Amino acid sequence: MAAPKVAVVGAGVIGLSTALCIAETCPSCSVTVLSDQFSPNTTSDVAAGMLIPHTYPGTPIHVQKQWFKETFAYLFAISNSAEASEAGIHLVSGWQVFKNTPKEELPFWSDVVLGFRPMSEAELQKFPQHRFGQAFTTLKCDCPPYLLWLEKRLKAIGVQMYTRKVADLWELHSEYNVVVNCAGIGAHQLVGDEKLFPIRGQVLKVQAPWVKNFIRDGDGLTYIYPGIHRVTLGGTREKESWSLSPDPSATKDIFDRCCSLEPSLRGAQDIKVKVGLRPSRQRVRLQREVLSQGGVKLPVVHNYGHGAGGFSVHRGTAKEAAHLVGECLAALQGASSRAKL
Amino acid sequence: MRVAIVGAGVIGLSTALCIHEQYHSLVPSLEVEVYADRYTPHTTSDGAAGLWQPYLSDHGNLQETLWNKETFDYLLGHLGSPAAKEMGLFLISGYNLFTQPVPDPSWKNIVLGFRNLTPKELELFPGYSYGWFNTALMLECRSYLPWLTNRLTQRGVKFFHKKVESFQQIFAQGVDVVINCTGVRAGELQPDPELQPGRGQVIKVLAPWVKHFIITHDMESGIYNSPYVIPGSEFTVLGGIYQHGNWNEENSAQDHKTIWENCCRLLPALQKAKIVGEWSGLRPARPWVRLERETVRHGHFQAEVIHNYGHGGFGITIHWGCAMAAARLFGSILQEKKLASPPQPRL
Repeated sequence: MAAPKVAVVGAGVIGLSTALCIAETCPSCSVTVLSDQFSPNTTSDVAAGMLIPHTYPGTPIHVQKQWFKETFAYLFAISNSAEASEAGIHLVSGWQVFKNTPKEELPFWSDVVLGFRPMSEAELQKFPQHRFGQAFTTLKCDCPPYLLWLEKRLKAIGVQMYTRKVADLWELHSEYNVVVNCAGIGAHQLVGDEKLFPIRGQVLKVQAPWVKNFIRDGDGLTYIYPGIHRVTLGGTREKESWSLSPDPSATKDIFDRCCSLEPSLRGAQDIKVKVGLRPSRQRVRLQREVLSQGGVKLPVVHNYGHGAGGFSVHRGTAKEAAHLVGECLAALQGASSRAKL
Repeated sequence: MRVAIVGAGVIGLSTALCIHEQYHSLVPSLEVEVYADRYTPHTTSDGAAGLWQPYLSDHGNLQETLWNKETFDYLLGHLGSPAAKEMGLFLISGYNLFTQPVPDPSWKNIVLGFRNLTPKELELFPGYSYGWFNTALMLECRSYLPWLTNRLTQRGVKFFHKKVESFQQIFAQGVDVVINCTGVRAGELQPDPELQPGRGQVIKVLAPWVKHFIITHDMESGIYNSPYVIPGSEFTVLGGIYQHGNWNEENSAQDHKTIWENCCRLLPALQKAKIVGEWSGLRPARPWVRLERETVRHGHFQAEVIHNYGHGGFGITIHWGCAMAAARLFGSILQEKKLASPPQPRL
């Protein structure tokens, strides 16, 4: 098959990183990214981009750990290079604090992040309402810079990107050999996945450049993540809420909760409110499927449903998706060879 | 009782505040004045990045270690207060890097979360095989000195913008006690061969993605002669110059090159950082801090001087402990003059 044509639907962190992996592993492929939204208007742009994994109940832990390890190693190398600032990747140290000692004291990812250890008594004194904590150093992917950097890398290797609302994957069958579905929360409508649901997250992005450490409450609801120019304060987790409009009472509640963890935030300036819908699922849908209509087949690779953990596993799932695309192309190649006999 | 503090860097202003806080209610006649020819933002303190970190070894000087601890604990206590931002005070974590294993420093239990670096972390810093991670404090003097000035002004402390030429000059005006916080130029008031400038130069850049301090050490070159990167609230400070005996306050192109090349080798992403300033300053270096009383003859009278200078590159780190020690010396002067009695139990 001459220059197989692959379409990637979605231009958030999953879509762009998947497109990049496909282009890297299949140099003869012609890869195109199609999305109705690009940075700075994707769900990824709202997220802080912290590499702290979310645990998917339906995926084996060793698989999640492998995804996280690969993603961490990939970003670690970028953070250590001259491109770090352009790519928006930087190291950040901080604390995860618990009001009650967690069931598992050692999360599965504790040996992937750097310097993981329990907090000392002296460190815990800064958090009088919390009784236990963990200190570590991890990476942060600031958006838009990271997405813009991915777009730049894609353009440099000939990947085209178009603004286009895809209403049905089947509409792409005549133009592309394989379609990769990285539509995030959009997959709910695009492929009718009832198992995919939004968990609405509201965050504040503020100017507080003296905040150099992250602080996260182990309940996952309150967090302070310092980025390059702004600090992300969070958040909310509203299951099944589709509203993208900022909620003023949530703004006040988030701000108060964060200030109780870090009082100096009272002096934060220029508070911007953002909302994103985490594309949540029991497990990430990372699998092949063949759509067929009237004898015509369209191989599809799904890579969506990363919920609160997209950044933490993006490179790992992108590589697996690229591998699945390779399998689709091999199957197509096999089928076309057989057709020639 | 007129007290004159000479010098308005971090040492002078904090000593003035400490003395006023402790004695103004005990001594109704207390008048505190500050004399200096340079005020913020033109003091040595203003150019420092503001990282709390003592030298690697205290040379057995336990008193200085105690003053460092008192300062850290005092600042840590202010972290949660509404004043922290105005003071320029915040927590910061970071790395100390070495080319060989070294003993733990005297301050390992003062800072938060002190530990050795893991092999993975050392991968970030090729050329360095050993290191520490800890959380410490930043106290940015371009905010802290104005904050101290405001507190002092509120308390009625008077400021004079003039160069004091001699102790006699000040005593002749009716001042009873002089606190000598003149830093690197203390030798102009009283010769002190132990006091030498430790010249430093820094480049200020915009590199807001850097969230950690990184201090490298070259045991051969000596303290501060190895690159360091310290991110502040508005810009990041690149440094790594310590020239003993050099009085030149002008920026040197050669030193600029040294700092820039060494820091970019340490953190390649710095090559993209925008340079927004450059500054040179003279650390008031001394084998140990001079913090003591001296009785100075002035005509028929005896006048008291409390010396508080020679804090090298750790003035911010040690300032509050020294201010309190100076205040204690002042207290004993007051007792001798029978102006203040030791605290009496209430009946």
